[in-house]
Amino acid sequence: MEDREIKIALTGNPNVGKTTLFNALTGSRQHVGNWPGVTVEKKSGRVAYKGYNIEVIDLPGTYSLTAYSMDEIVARDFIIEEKPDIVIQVVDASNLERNLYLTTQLMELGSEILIVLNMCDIAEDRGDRLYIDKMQELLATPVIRTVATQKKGLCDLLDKVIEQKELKQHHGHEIGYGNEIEEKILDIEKVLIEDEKRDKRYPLRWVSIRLLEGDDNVKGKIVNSPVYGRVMAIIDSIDQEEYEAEIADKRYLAINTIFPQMCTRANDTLTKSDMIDRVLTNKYLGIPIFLALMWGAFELTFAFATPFMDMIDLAATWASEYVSSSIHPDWLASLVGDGIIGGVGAVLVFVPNIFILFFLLSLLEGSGYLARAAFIMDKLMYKIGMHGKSFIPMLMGFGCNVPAIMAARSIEDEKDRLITILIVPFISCGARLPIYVLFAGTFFGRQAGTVIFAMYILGIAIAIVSAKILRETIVKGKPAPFIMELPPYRVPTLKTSLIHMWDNGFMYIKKAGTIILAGVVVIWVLASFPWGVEYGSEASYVGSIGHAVEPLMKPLGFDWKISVALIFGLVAKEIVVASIGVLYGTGDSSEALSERLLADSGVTALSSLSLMAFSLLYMPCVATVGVIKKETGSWKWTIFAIVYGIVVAWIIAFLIYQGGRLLGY
Amino acid sequence: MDIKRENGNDVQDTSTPMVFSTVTGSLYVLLGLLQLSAGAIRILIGPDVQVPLTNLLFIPADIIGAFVLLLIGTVFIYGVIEMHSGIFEGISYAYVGILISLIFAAIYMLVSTGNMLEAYLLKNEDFIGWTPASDLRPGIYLAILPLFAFIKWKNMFEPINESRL
Repeated sequence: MEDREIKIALTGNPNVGKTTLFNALTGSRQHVGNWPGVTVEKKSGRVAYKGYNIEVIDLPGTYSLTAYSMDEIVARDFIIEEKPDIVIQVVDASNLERNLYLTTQLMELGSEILIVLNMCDIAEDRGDRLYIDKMQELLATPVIRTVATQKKGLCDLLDKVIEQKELKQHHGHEIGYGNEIEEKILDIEKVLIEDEKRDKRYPLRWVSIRLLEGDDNVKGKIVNSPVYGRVMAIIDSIDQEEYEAEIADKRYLAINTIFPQMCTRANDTLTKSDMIDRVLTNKYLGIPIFLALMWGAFELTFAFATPFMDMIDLAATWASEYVSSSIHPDWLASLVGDGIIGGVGAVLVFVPNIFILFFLLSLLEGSGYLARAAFIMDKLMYKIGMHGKSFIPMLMGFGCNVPAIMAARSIEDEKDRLITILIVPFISCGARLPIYVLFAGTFFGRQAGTVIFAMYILGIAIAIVSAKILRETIVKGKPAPFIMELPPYRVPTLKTSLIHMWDNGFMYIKKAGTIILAGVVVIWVLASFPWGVEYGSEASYVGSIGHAVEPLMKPLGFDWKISVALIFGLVAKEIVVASIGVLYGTGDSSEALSERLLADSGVTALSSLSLMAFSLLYMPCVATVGVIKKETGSWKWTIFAIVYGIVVAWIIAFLIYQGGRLLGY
Repeated sequence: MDIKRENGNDVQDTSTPMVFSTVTGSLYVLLGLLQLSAGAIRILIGPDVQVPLTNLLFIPADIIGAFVLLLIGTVFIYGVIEMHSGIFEGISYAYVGILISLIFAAIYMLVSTGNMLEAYLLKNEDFIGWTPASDLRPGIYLAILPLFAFIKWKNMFEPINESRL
């Protein structure tokens, strides 16, 4: 029977549109961003076309197959070990020369390659001319032109995939590295071939070249081979650094020879991207503009969302009253009214803020601006001992810390990566936002947007200071040099921004219906028992827990209710607001909750500031702790992250509260 | 913007963007300083002392808003300095100044739209007596100049080939 299954892998440099093409082909909604390193794990999807079942795998972006970082290893191992039928290299037409470096390496791997030329519009807008026929001829590889964002060229691509699969024709192409290196390659190949039990998925020539380039990952794959010693004797006889540089030079020489025949570049042109970059990356204006734009985003998140919050509030108050008056017996009415509606409702009221924040972050990311933010912060980051690339996971942390920690995989140096993982939890994620909105809105009125902005800046500042401390104490060393490609500015599409907003906002709503719901039921039980005590009183279990930790929290300005809410917030930060909603028994009305907080002499503007800072910095949620363990592979660092966060939170909250009191607030 | 011929080559004349950037930048800086003074006096002395012209020019006592005005003004003035020194790329500052001023005007207007919903639709008691003029501020009305410039010079900022510089 004819094989109707085709497996294709999408590879290419970072930020060339692989995930956009993947989404267009498979109908998936994987996150697309305008900066390098959005995809950190391979993603799989399927497309049925002309009777064929095509599996599409989206690999992390990589500039080469040298395996310096984890995402490069993921991409390389997949191509070699899974042997996809066709490897589609997505190429940025506006950066053809640099993209071809990966092409040369893919060819050495012996993969069946198909080149997809993306972003031709950008190249042609600036006056470049692309000769696709010549490109196909010179690379001996089919080249297809697509505009993935507009779903153009997809049928041509799939037709070519099927044609390639049916032809079963392999286009071999080798780069000559000069007599001296070629002799060494041959010597290593002769030795390797003697090992009958070697892994035959790896082409001998490729393994030999990688060994000459000093690839430790490849060395590790032959370390148990009986010929290992003889191979290493050849490697030890050469100047490895010189060979590595020479091999790279030869590849670029090959590219520079064929490039002028496949593309004519326009003269240097001052594009809109260049104009914007000249200002936004200016050494004096870059950081103030970044701060101003972030402030604008948070001002809008708070102020524009308020009427929508009020509308939800009105609708939910009506529902709460209706439920309370129509449910019997009393304990059930209390569970539904005070517990479920009070807790979950207190969280749902903040849905407009969450949606607006994610929409604005998506606009900033999609435009390419956040990549510039990493660039302008690099100098400062290097001074404090951090890698410039670390700022990207930090910015991603504004959405959710979990993918942000995973994004640290694109950092090559292990120490840089570890520091990034440990400091990302200080970055204020969306889950902390309801806490700020509630307390800043209650105690700071029209300055609420500015207070919220200050919390985000505090998170970044603490992360940076922590990195400096870690670099000079536990994780000593210098950060690796930072090279990052700045993507061109693009007008973000409304569809992409809305999808990003919906996906993240819906995750928040889903959490409200699951983990937060479970949390508030537990809190309601603890607030209602032992049987017969006044609901949420000091005599209840929750009161006992609160009083047990109160001595530790009193210096920070927190009473027992706030202390309990913070304990439950260890599960998920949203539960802090939900717990306060349950414990103050205000139904789901955020307005009533604000009034109760204002009337509570135990909560002041100063203690609310201290609370916001503590909530920002103390132990990350359970999901973040899980991903720290997974990414560091160490309980030691996971426990360190938890303890360090709690200690830092306590110290900062203490300084805010006691400092404020000393100043007379 | 005019294109002049000079020594047989097309050369872009930056005099119009320079005049525009000087005027707009100066206005932003001037009103930014007034707003900064109003904010600082509110914090240091109290709401009873008024900075002259603040009521007339709808200037709120908002320090961060003042920094935004000063920043936009600085971007325009920075461009003037570069263009004056014969650096053609200085025009980038006029372009980005226009973009940032429009972004912040849009932010302020969206905030005002939120307040309008509170006042007229939800009848929130905190917004009794609110009128659109309550939210008028320099960040909004000063953006009229950049808005006109943006519309008039829509094609000016298309990619410029160096051979034309």
